[in-house]
Amino acid sequence: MTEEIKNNNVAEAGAVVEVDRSLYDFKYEEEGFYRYEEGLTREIVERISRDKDDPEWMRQLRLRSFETYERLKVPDWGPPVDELDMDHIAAYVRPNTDMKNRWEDVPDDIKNTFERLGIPQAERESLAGVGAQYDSELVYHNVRKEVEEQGVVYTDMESALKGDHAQMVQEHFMKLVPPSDHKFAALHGAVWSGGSFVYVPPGITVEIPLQSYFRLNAQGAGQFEHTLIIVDEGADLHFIEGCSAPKYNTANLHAGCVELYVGKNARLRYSTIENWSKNMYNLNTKRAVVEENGRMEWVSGSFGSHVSYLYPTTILKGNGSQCEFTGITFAGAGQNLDTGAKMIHTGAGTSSYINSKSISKSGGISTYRSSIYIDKNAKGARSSVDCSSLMLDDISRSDTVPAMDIRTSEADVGHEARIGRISDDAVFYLMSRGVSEAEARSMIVSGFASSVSKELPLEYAAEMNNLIKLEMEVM
Amino acid sequence: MSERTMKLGHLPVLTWNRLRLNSGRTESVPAEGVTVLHGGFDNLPAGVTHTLLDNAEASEYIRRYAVKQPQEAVVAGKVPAYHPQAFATGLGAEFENYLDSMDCGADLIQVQPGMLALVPVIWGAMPAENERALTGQIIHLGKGAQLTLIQLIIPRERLSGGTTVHRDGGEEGAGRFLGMMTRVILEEGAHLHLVNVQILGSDSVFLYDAGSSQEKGSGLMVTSLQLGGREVFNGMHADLSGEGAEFDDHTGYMALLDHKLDMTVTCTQRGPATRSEIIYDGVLSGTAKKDLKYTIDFRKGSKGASGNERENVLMLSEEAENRSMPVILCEEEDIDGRHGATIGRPDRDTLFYMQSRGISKDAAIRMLTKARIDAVAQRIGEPKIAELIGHFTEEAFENGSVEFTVS
Repeated sequence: MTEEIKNNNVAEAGAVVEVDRSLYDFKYEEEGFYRYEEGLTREIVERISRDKDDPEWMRQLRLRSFETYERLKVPDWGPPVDELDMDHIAAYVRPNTDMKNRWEDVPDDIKNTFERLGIPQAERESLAGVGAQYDSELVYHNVRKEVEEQGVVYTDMESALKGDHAQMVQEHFMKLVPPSDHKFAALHGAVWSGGSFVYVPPGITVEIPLQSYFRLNAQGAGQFEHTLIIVDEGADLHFIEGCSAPKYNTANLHAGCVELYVGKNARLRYSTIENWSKNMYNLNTKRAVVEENGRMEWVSGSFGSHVSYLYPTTILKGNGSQCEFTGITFAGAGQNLDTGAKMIHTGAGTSSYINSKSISKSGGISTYRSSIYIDKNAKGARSSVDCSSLMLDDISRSDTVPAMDIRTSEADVGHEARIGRISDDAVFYLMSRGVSEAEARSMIVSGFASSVSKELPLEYAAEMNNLIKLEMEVM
Repeated sequence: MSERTMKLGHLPVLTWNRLRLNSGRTESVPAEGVTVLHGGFDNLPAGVTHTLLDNAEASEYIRRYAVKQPQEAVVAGKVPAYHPQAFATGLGAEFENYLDSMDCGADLIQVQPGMLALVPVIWGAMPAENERALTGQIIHLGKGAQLTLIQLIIPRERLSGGTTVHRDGGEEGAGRFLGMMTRVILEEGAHLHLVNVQILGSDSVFLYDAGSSQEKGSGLMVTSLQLGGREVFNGMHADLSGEGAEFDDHTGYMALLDHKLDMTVTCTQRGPATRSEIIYDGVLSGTAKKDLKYTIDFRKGSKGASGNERENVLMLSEEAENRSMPVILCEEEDIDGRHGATIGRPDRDTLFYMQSRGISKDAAIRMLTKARIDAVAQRIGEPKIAELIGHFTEEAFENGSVEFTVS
């Protein structure tokens, strides 16, 4: 993360010394880039497959996905996506470089982008490996030698398709999220490009996190990266995902896919700070399956996008498996963010906990949407949901739309939800201590979000707090 | 006899279609051969009148006296599902249109302004075996008026007499069907306690649809007990337009055997300082399936409003299915909306404690179940009805309708 953010973090509580609004909103020309024409046809899907030299099974998967995409309708239950016109989205934009494993070898404009976002610095200080995607392809990928020596595989998805783990990829790719899941999963299956593959062998603990960062620089383009992580029996990993884009006047689309396999007694934490620009349709699909006594942890911050559909799903398949979801969504002007989580309990003695916060401001719409399913075989399952929403003005809206489907008496399910405003008493108290009203409100909102930020590594918590302060300043 | 399918009880906003919770669906609505029940009230309290309205008159009455709501643009980005109705009710437009097509009309019960009806009005709907019947009411309380209306839905063979209408039974084997719509208009400061007690048997399908239009300072208290019926749809839509209007719904239910119970309640809070309290307490046993969709919808202008949803589900059987959809919608800053739910088997510690005091497990479960229903029944304040409910609950245990498998 940048010094700028760190400085903000060490500033006095709630007081942002200076906020650089250009931190995420800058762009470079696409000089020398290879860009497909806009729209989506079978020919384009075939061309992507050909250009990537896909194995035959992948070519077939892409074509089947395309057929499914054409057949399925857009969702009728979420935020409107009518203005997303696939005829004006380029499905593939390749930057003017192939993937490097030294930042010095990455072209200057792309390298500068990631420098400004603080990625190389973060890699040096606190990460075990980094993948950096620019538009449709990874431009940088590297993993620390000592982690590699543990047998950990961290590579770009295209290499994984053809390398030593090709069979493993074939066995897992889009098995958790089949293309038939919904229209944008099908779109992903047809045109996916980039993303990461991680395999952590049995019993291995990766002490410091791996990170992938996705930057969509191109105007009117889509990004469709695929992340596949397999944490084998007894292993432990923290994976961080970041994303951002400059703002354009035309729609951009992100339809990524994340598939996570958590083995017996294994643990995976997947943290995301999403800060797409506010012209972005973020139609992302994330899903995990957890084996016996395994543990899945999601930490999710959604700040950007014009429209978001994001509901990380966890299938608690193994007996005694657990999942915890901690998420925050901040919907500001022009944003309609529909976020939440799904928990599917099929194993006995499984447990899940959802802790969700949402904030609506300046006309933003925030919807918390969730589903808890407890199968009849999930005897002794427990699930608890705690969801709080904060309304910061009367031109915004905040909705909670949770569902619970319980198929056994041998379960304990609890659900609590609250929607409200900032307490006048709390603002008054802070003001009586010399804090300005704006600062007081900002501090209270940061406090509201603290249950999420405390789950993040320091640098990312600082970035999240910075994003909250940025949003609080926009009136 | 031919039946028709119908979508009933819509969520105001949609969610994932694969959950099948956006609306309920039945295939048990008779397309023909239905009779229309009208009340025969002989001893109405002073200031309370009864008039029979045909369809056109009922529509005109609603148009004239109910608070007019603006045509809604959107709720959370979507046209609300109840939008086609001029007067929103819980089961929605399709059921309303069906009643109209069957010339259901309505019994209008009016309470004059300022009248306090100290004696409850009891409306008994007692369909006979195989009877297929429809009925509708409009309850209109003038300014400051108060009334308790008890709607008793029981099989004819269980009770006779009272202020009700009897019809001959219908075609053998058709099963019992009752479709019912109650629309409530409460003027400023008026208060209605609407009681609905349904103890139909396993041969019965019951569709209950209600809605309210509430002006300043008015209060609608709903006490509902849904204890029987093979297939039951229960819908309520309260519209709190006036400042300080209140909606207080406490419903108890038992879904037994292979019964299906689908409940939808929506409270739209438009006026400032309005208040809603929605509490559902229920017991599921056998292979029963229960859906509950409950929504508090805070609209712009509802400053200072509060709403609370709470649900407690006791699951006595491993084969029972419970689905719940507690929704809060909000487009106003200064509100307080809360929801809470607990779903699960009888508490092990409680069972253990009771057993350690010499109470058998079966008796303990029976006590826990009865306590849940009795807590709702006590709100009715009529000992004879509470006795009837208690008797029905006991009977369900005695005849094996309450099947429990919890250890």
